[in-house]
Amino acid sequence: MPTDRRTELARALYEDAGTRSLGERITSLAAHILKAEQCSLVLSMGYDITTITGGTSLTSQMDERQMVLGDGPTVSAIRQSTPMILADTNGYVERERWPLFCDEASKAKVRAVLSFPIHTGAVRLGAITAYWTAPHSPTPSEYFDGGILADVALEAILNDLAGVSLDTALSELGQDVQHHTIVQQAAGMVSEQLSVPILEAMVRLRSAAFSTHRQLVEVARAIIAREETLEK
Amino acid sequence: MATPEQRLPVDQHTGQADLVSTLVDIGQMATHGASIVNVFSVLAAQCVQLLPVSAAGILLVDENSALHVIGSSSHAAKLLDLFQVQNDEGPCRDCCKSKQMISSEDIASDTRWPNFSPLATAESFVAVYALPLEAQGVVVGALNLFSQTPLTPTQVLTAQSLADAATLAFLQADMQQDRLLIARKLRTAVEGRNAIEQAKGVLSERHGIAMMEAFWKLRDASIEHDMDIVELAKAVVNREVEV
Repeated sequence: MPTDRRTELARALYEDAGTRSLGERITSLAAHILKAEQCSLVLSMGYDITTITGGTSLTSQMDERQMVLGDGPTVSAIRQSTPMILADTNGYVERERWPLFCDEASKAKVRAVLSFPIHTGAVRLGAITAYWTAPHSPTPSEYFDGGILADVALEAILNDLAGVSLDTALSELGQDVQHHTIVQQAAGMVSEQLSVPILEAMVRLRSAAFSTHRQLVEVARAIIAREETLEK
Repeated sequence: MATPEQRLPVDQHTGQADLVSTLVDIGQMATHGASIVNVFSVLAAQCVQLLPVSAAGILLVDENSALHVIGSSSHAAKLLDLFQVQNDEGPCRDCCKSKQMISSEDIASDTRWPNFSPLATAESFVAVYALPLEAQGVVVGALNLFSQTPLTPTQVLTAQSLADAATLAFLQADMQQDRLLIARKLRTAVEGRNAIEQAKGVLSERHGIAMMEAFWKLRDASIEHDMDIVELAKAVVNREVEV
């Protein structure tokens, strides 16, 4: 796998893992790389979107209003599995697209929003959203970074849910397992075998790899070859 | 990109009619809004049909220079590994970097790729070609061909013509658009692929069939339901549609 940006961001995410929660680390790293004033992390389980963690009172308020109104870049990013750019809450195009949210945001002095979905294939896990008090158009490199951060955050959240230790997570830094064909196929198989949602299948695969000291790809390969099945 | 003059002569081993009909198919699929993942999967399958190659794969390169398998002529795990390993080294990686065709007509004695070559040789592949998927100076990925005998220059040109057609389909009206839009498209294509792989896993388990069969089942169902293959894949994984 290419070391480079993915590894850099994954390493930064684990840097002070002992002292702060994963949610706090994701939002502060997002604020740093996007040069945003405030960032939030929203996780959605099934169709209910709930703010779980990170951010400040302003971002919590903004996220919550989006969920209640069903309108806003975070909601769109999650529903459409595509990053959303709201460059200016007073802009004509933006107001056409998210009328309810733009009104609320202007009142709270929020002028720009950028939201990246945390997703893979059919899995929609949530979004990382950045807020600015002045109009802001992301540069291509900020946009790329946000997408990579969302990928890295997804892997960190899955590892967290699977109880993978910090040492193991660190030893596999930068591995782009989400884009590994075999890992995705195996998740689909496990989801059908155990009759569980695909997200849970992904977590189960990671737990199985961790508890038997193997790489995720190795376990995935054994499952596809039907040499191994996970227990219910 | 092959120039129009280069593209014309198709040798007698490659039925010109077949090539033309494939080019037309690719063009039609694109204008009918078929998922790009579907277009690239057909391209890989057609390369194996039209040319004396044993396996073909399409890899797209993202903004982080990582390569993603988007379509392949076979879904055997070993072959997929052969594409995946090229994130570290191999002809596709070199091709995307140099924006030129990279080939080896004797992989076993080629010293450029110490990890890739043994894997390819173990699968009895003798020659490998990585052709750039390029339009207007932007390389979006590479077409990877494996064969048991070296290809003729004309056959390589045929492959490049197919690659050009698929790239044009991918970029369609976006020829003048910027890096950001192309990056968005690449990301969407890669995510679409992930959904298809997940759905293949579900269907393979449900019906006790191989991954390649699961792909064709998904493709047939997408035609039957008149649904984009990626949307259908997501619906299958989330148990919203029964296939």
